[in-house]
Amino acid sequence: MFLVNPKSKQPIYEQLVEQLRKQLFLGVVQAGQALPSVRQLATELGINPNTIQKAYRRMEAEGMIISVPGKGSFISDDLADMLKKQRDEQLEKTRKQIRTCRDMGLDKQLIEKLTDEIYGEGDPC
Amino acid sequence: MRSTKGNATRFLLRRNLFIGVIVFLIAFYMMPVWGLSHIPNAGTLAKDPLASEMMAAEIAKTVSTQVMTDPLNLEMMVILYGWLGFMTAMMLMRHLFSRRQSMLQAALPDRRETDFLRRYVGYAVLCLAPIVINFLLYLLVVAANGLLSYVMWDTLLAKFGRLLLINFYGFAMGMLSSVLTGTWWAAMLMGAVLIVGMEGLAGLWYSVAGKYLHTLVSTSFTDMLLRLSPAYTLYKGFYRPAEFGCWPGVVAAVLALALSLLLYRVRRTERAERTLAFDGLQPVLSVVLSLMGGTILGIVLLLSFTTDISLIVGMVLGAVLTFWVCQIVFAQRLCGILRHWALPTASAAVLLLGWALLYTDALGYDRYLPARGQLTAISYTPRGYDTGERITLTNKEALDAAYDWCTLMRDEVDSYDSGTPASSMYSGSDVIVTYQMGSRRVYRHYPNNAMRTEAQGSLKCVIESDDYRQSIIDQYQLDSGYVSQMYISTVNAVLDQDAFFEKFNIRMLYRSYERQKDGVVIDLLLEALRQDILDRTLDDKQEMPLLEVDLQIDLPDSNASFEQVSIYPGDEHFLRALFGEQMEEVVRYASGGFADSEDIVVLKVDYTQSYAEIRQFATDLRDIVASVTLARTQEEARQWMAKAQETSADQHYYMPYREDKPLKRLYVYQMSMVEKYAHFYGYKVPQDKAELYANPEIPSMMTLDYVGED
Amino acid sequence: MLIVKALSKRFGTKQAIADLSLTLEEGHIFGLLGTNGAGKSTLLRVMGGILRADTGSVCLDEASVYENPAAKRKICYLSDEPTFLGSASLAEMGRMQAAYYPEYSESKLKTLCERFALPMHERITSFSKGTQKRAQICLGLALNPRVLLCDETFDGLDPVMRDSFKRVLSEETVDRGLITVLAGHNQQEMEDICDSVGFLHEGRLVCSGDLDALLGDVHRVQMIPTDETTDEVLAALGPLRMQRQGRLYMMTFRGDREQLEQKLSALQPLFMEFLPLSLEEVFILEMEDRGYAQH
Repeated sequence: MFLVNPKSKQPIYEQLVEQLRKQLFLGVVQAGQALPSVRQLATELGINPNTIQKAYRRMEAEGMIISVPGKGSFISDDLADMLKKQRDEQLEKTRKQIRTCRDMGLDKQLIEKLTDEIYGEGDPC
Repeated sequence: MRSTKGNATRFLLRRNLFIGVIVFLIAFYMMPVWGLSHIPNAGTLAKDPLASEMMAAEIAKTVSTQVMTDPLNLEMMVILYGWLGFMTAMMLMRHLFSRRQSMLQAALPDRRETDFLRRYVGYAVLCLAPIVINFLLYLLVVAANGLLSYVMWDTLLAKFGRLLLINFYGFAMGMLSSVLTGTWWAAMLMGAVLIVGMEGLAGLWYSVAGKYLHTLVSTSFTDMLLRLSPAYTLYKGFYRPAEFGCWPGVVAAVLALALSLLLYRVRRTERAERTLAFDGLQPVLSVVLSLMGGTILGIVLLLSFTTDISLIVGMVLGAVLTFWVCQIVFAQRLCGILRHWALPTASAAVLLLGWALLYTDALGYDRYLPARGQLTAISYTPRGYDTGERITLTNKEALDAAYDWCTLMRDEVDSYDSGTPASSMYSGSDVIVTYQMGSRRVYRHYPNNAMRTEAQGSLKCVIESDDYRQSIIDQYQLDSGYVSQMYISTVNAVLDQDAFFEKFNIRMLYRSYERQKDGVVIDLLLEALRQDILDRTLDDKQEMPLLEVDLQIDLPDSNASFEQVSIYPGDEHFLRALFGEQMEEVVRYASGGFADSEDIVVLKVDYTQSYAEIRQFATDLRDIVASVTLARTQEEARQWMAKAQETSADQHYYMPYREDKPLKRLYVYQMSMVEKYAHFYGYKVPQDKAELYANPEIPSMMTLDYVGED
Repeated sequence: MLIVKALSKRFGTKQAIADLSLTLEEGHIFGLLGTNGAGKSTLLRVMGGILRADTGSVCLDEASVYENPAAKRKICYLSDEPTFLGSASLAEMGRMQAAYYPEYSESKLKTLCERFALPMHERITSFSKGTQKRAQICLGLALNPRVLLCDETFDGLDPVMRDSFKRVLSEETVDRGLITVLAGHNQQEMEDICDSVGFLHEGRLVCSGDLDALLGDVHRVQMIPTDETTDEVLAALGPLRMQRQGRLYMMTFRGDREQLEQKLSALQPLFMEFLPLSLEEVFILEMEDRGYAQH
């Protein structure tokens, strides 16, 4: 479910959060699905359990998962709001970026071409 | 659940089992194996009813004590068991000599004191137990041979107990050495310093002191060691357990163990592989060793160059060099000789101060004399004289006289210039005096060179006192019946011993008596001797002795000792018991009568210098001859001889010092001998007998100082 | 909780540790970084109750560690030079541990030895260096300690074994709340496994704290500003460091990344890129901050 790249300069817990987020958006994981326990994941990946704990806390704060004491962590049942919110945020960011592009005098076709290119790459996972 | 503590100890024992095996094997070879190879012989003897009675003592000795002396000698036994204890300690503490093993040990959840006690248990199980087991095995060998009844339990157990104590002492010293140091070599060296360091330093200084202090008694050093040195008392005590207390050894061992526990607790783990485990120890040990080094080099240079300067230079040089070497060893790298200067300077200064104190005798050692009122006894032993008397005087009169005599001898020493080498003032014959004040004893050693004549009055009082006479009677065991053999010979007063005895019909071979055969004769003679000793005056003793009696004394529980007794012409009882009616004839013959013969020639030589001058200037006698006179008649020769005294008269401490008059000497020649050897030595026998003296090649049979009136 | 308070340790004239304080909580892995001779080993040895501190204290649950068997039974120190009893096998070492540590589990040692492919009955000193290290780790973990002090334990292990060790470590941390201190100079390893790190320099803890916080707090930016943007404008943003090569600026900042990004974007640079910083670089910056020379 998770892969860690120790060579990356990105903190491990961020890597974990990013990976889950991607999987959620892509619909790879289902709502209500159980996440591996901290112990299981730490042993599997050979990383510090506190890091995983931290990543799970972050995911929970963002509404991606919910933790049930004594049972473990699960993918949040109510993903729609979270996904919508995140998508809206991202859209707003993109809007700003495109505005900057326009201000810098970039050609509209160029942006459209770039968009086609990225969407054409397919699944990044 | 098993207790963790017991487990850890058991683990330690298992790890170190090899020590136990080695100790067991060594002890096995030294006791049971020895028993197996020697005791069966004694067993066969014991089965023989005739032999068993005669050899009982031998068998008992074999079974009881020889195991402690054979097959290796006693020193070996002491050193081996002490060494076993020491090495066991070092092996049990070996983690201290490796940085890594120290860390491993220190990481364990174990209090240091618990750990220490574990190692102590380790010693008891791995070293003491194998020795005890082997002792029991030895007893088994004895029992299997049916000799258990011969065992002298007190002797055997005392010796065995001492052996264990020596082993324990070695262990305690090993523990302390290991804790104090961080390497194998340092621990060994530390052990040597701890065991014999102080004794060695004291011994060295004793020899330096002996050079400047004239009255220092060399044996009192051994005496001091016997009272104070743990190692020496243990060593000596193993020979003679009854005589030497084991307390210094026990106290030292217990103290060393307590100290090592204390130090083990505070010892820093990181000090492993460093020469010394404690920083504070470095200056202390450096100073102690540099004091030793300085003393040793000083003595070595003194022996080679024999001057005070060489001693001083040696001391300073030795102190500085040893200190430097210590610094190199402690730092484990080369360092400059001048890096530290305060401490080596201080120790050199201490050495020089010590030397100066001895040189000037600032503490008044030689001047010492106890207050007359405090004295309870004076004992003295003349040394290097013909008599080996050991006199103890307690009676007031004799004590006073002896005190006066000692005062004179003390004054003589006091008159020497300071720094005069003590050895130059000894003629080889001197007096060792023990002042006893209650339980306190003070020993002094007097040269007794110059005060003889002045001391005559006191000596007369001493020698004619009952105390003195009883001392001699006790010393010769004349009352006790322990004299087992007697051997009578002539002193050089008579030329031919065999001829002498033959002349007076004493046919006994070698004139010797054994108690088993001649018990009656011995008792008779000893009783006569006792009577004579009670009658003797100083004047009697200043005559030339006629005979010498050697006594063998066999005290119970001790080896045989020997005493030599002079018989003087005045000893009527003894001489009459030996020669009966012939006694007067014998005395006459022996004290010069033998000169009444054609064969004997007596020359009297007058010299121009006195004996004192001759001694002082080391003059060759032949350079100062005033005249040579030939005895005109045999009767004159006999008279001269009767008035003569042997040339070695100063071997009698009670003799007056030689007079200040020019020396006269009698030379006695036996013509038959002179002629016999003429060819051999290549001299010509002169016609005029008075010229015999002129040729130094011609041997005189006897030389006597002529003390009589012309 | 293992608390190191105002610890100082001196060897002769060398101050190995100077007034060092540190708190380690259950279930955390602390990385101790530092150059050679910075005092890492000494610190671990004092924490393990092997060396006595000159001043200050090391307490496990409020009980001082030094000469306290009850506390030391819970601490395992893995030396940088694996040491075993002379000529001992793993089984023999196990017997020693059984004698001293009530928590020691022989079955665990057997399991670990199987996992790390170690023979139980051969002389450990005949093993290769890396294998000895493995043996040391197995012995240490079999003690079931509460505190594990590892001195350069990763060095000399092959990648597979490192990975295995990391997994075991994670397991123990989750399962038993193990407190681990990893000393070493392999920063990469530390970044993976530790949740907090400390950098030891000349016996002092230069900085320590949560790994992510440390890394997330400092940023390096490479940018080409517009011609109008002067050095003064850039300096006003308060970079920790600023270097210039031609038109290219390299700047290091401390603070929140998003705020920084906004501020810099406002300058409308021709080119801007955030570059990652390694732990080492963070430490060097921290040290400079505190007035240490760079080397």
